[in-house]
Amino acid sequence: MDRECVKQAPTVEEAVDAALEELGVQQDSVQYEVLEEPGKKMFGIGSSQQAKVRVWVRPEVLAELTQPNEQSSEEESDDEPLPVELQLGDSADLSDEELDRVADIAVAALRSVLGCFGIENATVEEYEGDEGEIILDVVGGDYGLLIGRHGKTLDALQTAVGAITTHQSGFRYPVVVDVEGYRHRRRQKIEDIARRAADRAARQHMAVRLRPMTAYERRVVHVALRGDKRVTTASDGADPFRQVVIAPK
Amino acid sequence: MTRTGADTEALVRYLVESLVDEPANVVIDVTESDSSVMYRITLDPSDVGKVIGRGGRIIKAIRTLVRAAGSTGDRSVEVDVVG
Repeated sequence: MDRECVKQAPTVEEAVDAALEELGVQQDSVQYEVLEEPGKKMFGIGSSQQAKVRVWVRPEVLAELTQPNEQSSEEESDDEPLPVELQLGDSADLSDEELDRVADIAVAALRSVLGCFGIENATVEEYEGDEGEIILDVVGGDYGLLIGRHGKTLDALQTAVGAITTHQSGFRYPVVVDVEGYRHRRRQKIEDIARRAADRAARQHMAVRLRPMTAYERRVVHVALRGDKRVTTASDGADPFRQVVIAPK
Repeated sequence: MTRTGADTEALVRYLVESLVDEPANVVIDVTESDSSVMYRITLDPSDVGKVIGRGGRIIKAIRTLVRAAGSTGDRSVEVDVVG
């Protein structure tokens, strides 16, 4: 795996995003320098020169990766339950009234943020997920802006709405924010990847290593293959390079 | 895009004031130039951790949202808590 790369794109941000994708890490694990600033746009059309950046994995992150990791391979125990970082023991015991109040606060917070984005007429669909979480799906428009590259903006939106809901309700209850079912489709895509890799592992009698994934994505893989009697799954390596390995039994 | 225009400063203010116990003590100082927009947030000391979050999780989310709201054009955007 490369630890450094150079990328060009119309803007610095896009170039860095492309580099993150290639390195397979998240933004907080890297540093970058701008080699060439993008050219100024002429009359809003085209661009004379692309941005060029050099992106490298931070030394302390690299150091962590090269250290032996005691928990380097284990079952799904450390892969976070859905949704990320939002569960506390007592939240399961909420009454219906309390749950309604939490959901109302979450919807209000989400609507307030959308309002600041200039989005006034979106529909927020509210439903309960398989694991009891409150799911708020923003529909009714072209809201790709709220998703961002690899869902980064959507993750930030969920973090912010979740934190506000926890603060204002006093309950740490899992809230998932989605846009036009993006997370749902994404989840299905990862499940497909997992099943295809499992087929390959079983057919070739060889372990298959998936690309580095976030804790949430890894959990989706583990759960998708839980019932597959041909293979076992384990997470290996340290974040942000932690990967699921699918091995034949 | 059918948006009527994002209000980045309102976004910073809403997010921060919704996360603290002392919203009256929140001061947001905006410094703008041709190439950058900087939001400096001053908070009651007891509220600093709530806005930054564990491992900077919350402040990172705020930054991502403010950049995505994008009413700042091509300029770089900084959001910092100054304690």
